[in-house]
Amino acid sequence: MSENLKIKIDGAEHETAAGTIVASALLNAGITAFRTSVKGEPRVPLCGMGICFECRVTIDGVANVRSCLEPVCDGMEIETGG
Amino acid sequence: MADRRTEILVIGGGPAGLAAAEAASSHGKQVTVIDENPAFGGQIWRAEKSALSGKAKQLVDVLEKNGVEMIPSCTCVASLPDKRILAVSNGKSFPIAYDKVIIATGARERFIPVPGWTLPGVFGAGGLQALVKGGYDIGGKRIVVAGTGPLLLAVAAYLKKKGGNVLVIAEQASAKKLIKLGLASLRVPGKFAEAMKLRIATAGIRYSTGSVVTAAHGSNLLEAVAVKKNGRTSNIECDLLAVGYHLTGNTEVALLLDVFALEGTVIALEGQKAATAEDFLYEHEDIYCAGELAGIGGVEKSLLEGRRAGLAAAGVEGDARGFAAEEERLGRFASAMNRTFELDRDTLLEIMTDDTIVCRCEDVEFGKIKDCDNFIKAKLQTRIGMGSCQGRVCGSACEALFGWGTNSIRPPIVPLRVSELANFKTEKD
Repeated sequence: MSENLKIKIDGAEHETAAGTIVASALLNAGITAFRTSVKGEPRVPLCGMGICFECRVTIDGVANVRSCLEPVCDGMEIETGG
Repeated sequence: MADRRTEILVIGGGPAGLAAAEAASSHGKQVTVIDENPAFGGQIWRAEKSALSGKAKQLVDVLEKNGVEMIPSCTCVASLPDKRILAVSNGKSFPIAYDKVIIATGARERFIPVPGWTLPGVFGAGGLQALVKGGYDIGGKRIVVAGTGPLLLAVAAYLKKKGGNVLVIAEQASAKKLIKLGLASLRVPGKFAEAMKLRIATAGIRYSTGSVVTAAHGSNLLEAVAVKKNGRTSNIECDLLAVGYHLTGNTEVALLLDVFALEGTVIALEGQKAATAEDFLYEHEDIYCAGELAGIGGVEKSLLEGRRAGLAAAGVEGDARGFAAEEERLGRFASAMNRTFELDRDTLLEIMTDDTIVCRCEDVEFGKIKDCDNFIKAKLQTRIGMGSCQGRVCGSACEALFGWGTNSIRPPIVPLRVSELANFKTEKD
């Protein structure tokens, strides 16, 4: 499990340990706006378990994916702030 | 994908679901377990980087040996005619037909809005724990753990172990109530020892009872938390706030099957509490509820109810009846616990300001809904509860704040993409 994976967050390359959950990897990368709320506020995950939908991001071109339910994969491309 | 058919379908792979699947499969039944998470074990047995251990691993090993089909990252989104559900997994939807279904969807944290709780840096208590288990590095971060419930101690102990600098645990329940619960725990083997172990693991962290978070401050990020105790408010500078107010059952699937699959039969709902396994056996033979969704009570209660539901669904009734005494004892402790961590509505209402966001999906503020009579009216006027989470967060908050019932659900119970439905054909096609 010590193997590192390469992912892209908003175009920038990051390394993360295999088995990491996408939401956790984004927090480690210092992301403070997973999504932008209706009124323009930055939001990060609240519940960490697929309930609140605050953690949704675009993963490999698929929009509105709950990042707290997705483990990272090598080469994954994540876009935040939508 | 070909239609799936199973004798016993278990929805939810936490303690109750795994125990149910073990019991039923050990009696020769064909069992399928689905879970929304990428790994089994539920929230309580959520593992670091998905590597299960202990009781969770033991159960999963038995299920594998018994040939139980286990589908992770699979969500039940709707109920279909002829005893089937519609499931979605990896971008595809497919029906699963069952003879009997055991609903073990567990619980989620109850969130109570406070001014500033939408700031980045504010997490649920169990929420932050889950994210740290998922790999979030909190080393050196100053953390306030707050809210109510037995989870707070466990979360604080875990965050400390992972290098977090936990400044304080702010528990809203009074010291008097907590002492009473401590005494009640002496009657349930293991409970008192468990509490002591957690207290030792959190040694050095201040446990402040009768303390309520009244605001989260910061411009773009959390900078400080206001905590009120005995009428005095103090500001605590911190990087993270982990705040949750005990638990509430995930009743969506139960409601779904009640309304859409079983016309004429009723899941007895009292507030958020679905009927117990016993009530279910009495009402009808095909649907069972087990674990936290049937009343918050902890892992032992979930294992017991799960096992019992599994045996009953497998038709091993003699065995299923042998649990009454243990169930009663755990049930009594669960009631004592839930009374201890009950929320005081006036205290909560005092914290709210008109611009406090209650519905995070639609950014609906307290001031917009406070004069409404019920959740439906508030919904129609403000769109509260109509966003992506479908009221899972603001619904229980409104119940705590206003006493509004929010027990209505319509499929799909999580937002779906058209592409996820596109591969699913009806019989007419």
